Amino acid sequence: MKLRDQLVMARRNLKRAKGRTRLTLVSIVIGSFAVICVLTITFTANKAMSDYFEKTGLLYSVDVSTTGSKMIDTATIDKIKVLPGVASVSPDVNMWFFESVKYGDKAANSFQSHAQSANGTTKQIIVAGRDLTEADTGPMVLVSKDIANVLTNNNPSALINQQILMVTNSNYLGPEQKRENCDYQKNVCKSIEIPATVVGVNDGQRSILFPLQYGIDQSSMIFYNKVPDCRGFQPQNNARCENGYIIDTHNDVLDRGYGQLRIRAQSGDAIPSIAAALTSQFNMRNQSDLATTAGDFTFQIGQDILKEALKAFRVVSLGLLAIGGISLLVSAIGVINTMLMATLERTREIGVMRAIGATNRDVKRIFTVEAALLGFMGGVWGLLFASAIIIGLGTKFATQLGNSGVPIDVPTLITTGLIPSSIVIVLTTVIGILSGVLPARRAARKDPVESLRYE
Amino acid sequence: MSATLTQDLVAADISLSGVSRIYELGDEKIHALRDLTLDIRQGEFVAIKGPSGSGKSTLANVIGGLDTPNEGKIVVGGLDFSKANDKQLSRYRSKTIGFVFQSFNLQAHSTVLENVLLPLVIAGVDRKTRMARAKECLELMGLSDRADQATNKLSGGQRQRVSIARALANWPQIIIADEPTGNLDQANGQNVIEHLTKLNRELNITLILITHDADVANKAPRILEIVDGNVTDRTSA
Repeated sequence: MKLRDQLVMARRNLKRAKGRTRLTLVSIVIGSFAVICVLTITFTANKAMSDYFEKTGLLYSVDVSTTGSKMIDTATIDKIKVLPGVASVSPDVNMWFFESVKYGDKAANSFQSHAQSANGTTKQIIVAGRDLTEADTGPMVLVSKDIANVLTNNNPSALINQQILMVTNSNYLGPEQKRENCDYQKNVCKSIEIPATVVGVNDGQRSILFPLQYGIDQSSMIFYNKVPDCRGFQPQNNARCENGYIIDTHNDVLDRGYGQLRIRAQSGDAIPSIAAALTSQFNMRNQSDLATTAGDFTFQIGQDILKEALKAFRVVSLGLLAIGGISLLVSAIGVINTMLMATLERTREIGVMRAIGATNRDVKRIFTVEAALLGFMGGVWGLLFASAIIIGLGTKFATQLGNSGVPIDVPTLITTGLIPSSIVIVLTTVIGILSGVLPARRAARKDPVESLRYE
Repeated sequence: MSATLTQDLVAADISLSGVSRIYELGDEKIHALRDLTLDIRQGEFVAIKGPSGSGKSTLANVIGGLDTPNEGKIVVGGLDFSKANDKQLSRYRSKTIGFVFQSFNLQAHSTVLENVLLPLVIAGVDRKTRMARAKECLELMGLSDRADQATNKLSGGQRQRVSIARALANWPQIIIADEPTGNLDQANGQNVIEHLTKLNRELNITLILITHDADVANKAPRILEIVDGNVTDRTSA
């Protein structure tokens, strides 16, 4: 008997018991749907994370930060720059004194302001306008898309070349602050608004990025101490006396150094040698090295962050997959039950088949193919349902992600996630075949004479 | 008759020697066939008659390769059943034998044509050939116009003719008809017997007709009577 004929026969037999076939299919569809969803989410999320790290350069980055009061000075940075395999280095200045940003009647809060070198150490994914360049030194900013959306009613392009107002907190004693705004006994000042020009919008989240030099400049804190006629004032490095005030200027960055630093490696292969050099030459400790506690600074390798994230996600996925597996197991029991009922109902038919020339093997294959077809159809329907729902939700999710600025091409990722998930069709077909083995064997073992007498 | 109906027709003489078939029901042993020796030559029309429970159907099943005797030897067309495996016996049932059952045993929800196609499908005959052959068999049984009808929509006589067409599909040398008129009225029964005898007469197909009806049995030139598993040749009676 030819396979094609067996398939036709299996299809016809399944159609004969429509209700039962549908119920069995539903159980397989639920099982395959669950597994496909889990697999697709796993594949998609893995790919999304890897893509994000790749696009932003995090995959080739090493982030150094201080563990205590010791800061990263420019001499150290210069030495790191010339390490083999280092492509670029960018210190990071935390501009902690900005508490909100205004544009017209709109305002945004809860973001972080930084200043970094615009030398490509951190790759910016520009949504509108342009990236900062090393020629930019003044109050120019790259605003993240989410903030730009808030300030422009979801029209980030409208912000390009516009002036926004950076609102300082009460601890800002920087160069833009006016003496009369401050109580120098308490070192508390009124908030002021510092204008800055938006050069571009990036896909980051809750961040405003300034040129490094501007960050350094703004880190200068100026203290005023009233001394009538500058009586008894002795000139010092950072202090001068003018109009009855001792003006004491401290630049935290220039005086002490940077709290954070990002190193970009020329390639992923160069990272181990850079990490070794940071440990041996600069007394820095790898955060993933739990055995070591010493070191003035710690560093974290981007690849390690990705690995940890993927590892955590894998554990979650395995848990979800186990749930999907249980659903498939239940559907397998459903197939066994359906096929056992079919062999019983079709006992007489089996007798007739044997009488007109079917071998034991033919009978076995007829029932096995039927079970396999159930599994296959369940897998296909499961994939169709899962695809429809995942693509639907994914598109909605993509819109949300797009608004929040995450650089993930969800539809493409879903497609790349769904394709390997199609293997579920093979899985459900195999489950169908395995579930059909016992009923098929029973059918094949039936005595033809007894079968023909069966009522 | 069409030329294709005589295809592959080679002698399939039937020889049974010392065949016994014993069924065990608990501690009780029932001798359905007792040391039975019988020869049927290719092209014969043999009626096997006897009362209910005499062993007629067991004999039909044993000759048809559906049942295995406990003792004795069966050889049909050179095939020794005792040495044949499942595949050989299945091939024998497919190619040499055509069964016609009292209760038709058709697939109720399938069409007439699909029922006749079934033995050809099982035998692995290619689509074109099997379609032509099935139509040929239906034409022979006068059912060409019913090909696409579901069998559960047919009368008893028509169903039995479908059953004969199905038995005829694989060019058999032997047709075993087990009480083919048992579920039919007299007119339909007569019609079915006429079709079967025509096949025997014109195509030289061996016809083994199992019946408890003396009138039906009397249509056969050779009548075997079976009582308590023993067979007696009543041809001269």
